[in-house]
Amino acid sequence: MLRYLTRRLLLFVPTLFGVSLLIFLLMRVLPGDVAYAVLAGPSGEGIVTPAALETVRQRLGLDKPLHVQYMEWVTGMARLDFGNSLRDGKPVWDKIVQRLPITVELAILTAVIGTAIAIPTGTISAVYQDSLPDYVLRIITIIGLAAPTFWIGTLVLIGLVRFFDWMPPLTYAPLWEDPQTNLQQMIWPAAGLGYHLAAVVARMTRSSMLEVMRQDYIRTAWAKGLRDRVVIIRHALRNAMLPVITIIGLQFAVLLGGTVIMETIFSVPGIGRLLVDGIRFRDYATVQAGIVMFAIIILIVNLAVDVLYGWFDPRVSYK
Amino acid sequence: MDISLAKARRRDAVGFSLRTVKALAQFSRAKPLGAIGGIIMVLALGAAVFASWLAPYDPLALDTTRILIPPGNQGFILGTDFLGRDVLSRIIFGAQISLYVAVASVVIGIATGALFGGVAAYFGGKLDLIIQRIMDAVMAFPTLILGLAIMAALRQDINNVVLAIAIVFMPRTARMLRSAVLSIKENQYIDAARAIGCSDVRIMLQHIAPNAAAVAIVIASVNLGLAMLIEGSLSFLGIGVPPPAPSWGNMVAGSAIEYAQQAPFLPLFPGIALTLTVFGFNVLGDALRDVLDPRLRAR
Repeated sequence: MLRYLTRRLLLFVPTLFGVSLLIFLLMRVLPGDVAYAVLAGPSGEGIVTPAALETVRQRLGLDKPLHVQYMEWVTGMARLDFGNSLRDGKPVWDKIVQRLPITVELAILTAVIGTAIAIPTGTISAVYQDSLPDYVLRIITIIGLAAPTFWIGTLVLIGLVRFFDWMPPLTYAPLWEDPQTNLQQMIWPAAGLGYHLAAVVARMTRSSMLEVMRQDYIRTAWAKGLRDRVVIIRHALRNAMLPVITIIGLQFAVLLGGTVIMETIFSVPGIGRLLVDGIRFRDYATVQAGIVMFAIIILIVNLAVDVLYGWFDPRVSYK
Repeated sequence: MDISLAKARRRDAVGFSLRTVKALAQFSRAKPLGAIGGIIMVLALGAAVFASWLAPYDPLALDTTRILIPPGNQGFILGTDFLGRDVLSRIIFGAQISLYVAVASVVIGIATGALFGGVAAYFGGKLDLIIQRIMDAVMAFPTLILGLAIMAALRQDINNVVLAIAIVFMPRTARMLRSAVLSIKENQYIDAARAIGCSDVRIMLQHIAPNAAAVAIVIASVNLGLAMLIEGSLSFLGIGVPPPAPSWGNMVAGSAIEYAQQAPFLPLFPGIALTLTVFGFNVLGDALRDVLDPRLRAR
């Protein structure tokens, strides 16, 4: 186990290199002149003169050869220097440090809410297969799979504004300072985002439980006269959890994409919002940094899921 | 008996049509949910193609004297938005945008995915490993964030949205088609073709491609819904199809918070349209996968 961990951690570095190279190339290889876009602004109406273009290019370091640019960027990142925002000149790293915990909190809250709803729901659906509760739950699940996150979030926001006279708070209250306000702010985007996650996990739980419950050892458990709850939870659910954990891990990437949307709708000052604002205002330094942060988060979560999977299933061996 | 060529062709056409209808009927009976998805797909396509005839008003026509009319009043079945534009017409034309982006990006994604995945699988070796590593690196990103990153570098335009989504799809498609080609490669008829001297290109086009088509169809049906969701999200964030084009994502965004008190219904209808269409494609894709799957495994 320890060997597997160290090997995965060592692989982290080249993977990060590959990812950073990809992001770097993405920003530079795609058609369109970055300097032009920065000057022209989001509506394309800014004034663009050749002199101004040169200034912007020098400021962005675009006039240097590609490999020099890349090395400067990567070595900067190693020193936690992600450059300065093109909008207000402040260091990007400071903004990231400020906003990262917020996005992480939103992601964790979403995962907790989504899983807490999905696993019981999927289990009920499986145990009472083809009954009315099963059909109702399945319809709700199908809607959750097809409904766009931004739509659910918008509807939740409008519902809150229109029917409960609630406005998104202007200032963010950190969790350790004011837990009540913080949860009031965060629970709605987390719930909206959790709907889709819950739909995916519930569907997986249902099919996994259905498969497990047909196994011989479950029949033995029923035959032994064990209580329903013991059979379902201690024997069936435990074994059904393996594919569910994999799915949750895979869905985490989708979840991160969703936080971008939810943070925009509910004015949550997280990294997702930073990224979207950065793109809108062509703040390339921020955009690059934001994407690298997302990539790092996903790599860490993937590693954690792999380890968790091995812990749950003693049959998995780490060669 | 002497049958003219024209008569024989007509007979063949009738037979083909009858067989197709029969196959569709069988599919509907076996997979009713999939049939519903198919109907939704046909309706959406119809709305997209015949938008100009179906829409009662011009989707771009502003009229500030008739803003925010609730649904069902003054001849506007779904009401008007904050600029006086008819919501129903905008939703019908929105189908055009969503379906164009979805179909174009899926087709390009599959074509490029087939190229990379197929080539990697067929030739194997170092080329395979390199292509796989690159695809894995790209796949590490969530679809939406990768789409955001690509659109950040491009001008805001509907064709760039197509390009961005196609790039997002390419590695996943390449991986699936790679495994499909790997299993097809093991068949004996490939060896036979090589033995009689077929060139690699000929083998790939004439033997491997038709057999990989089933996988491609399943990939396409699943990705169509995803493409529409990504396009909707990008347009919602203001980085996708630019307004005033009536993308469903745009319509949900442009109406939300400011008009929540006066017109809470505005984001409802485009969202319903998008959800319903994605649901249809998802369900059709599931049904197609169930139907084509045994054939995928058959050797």
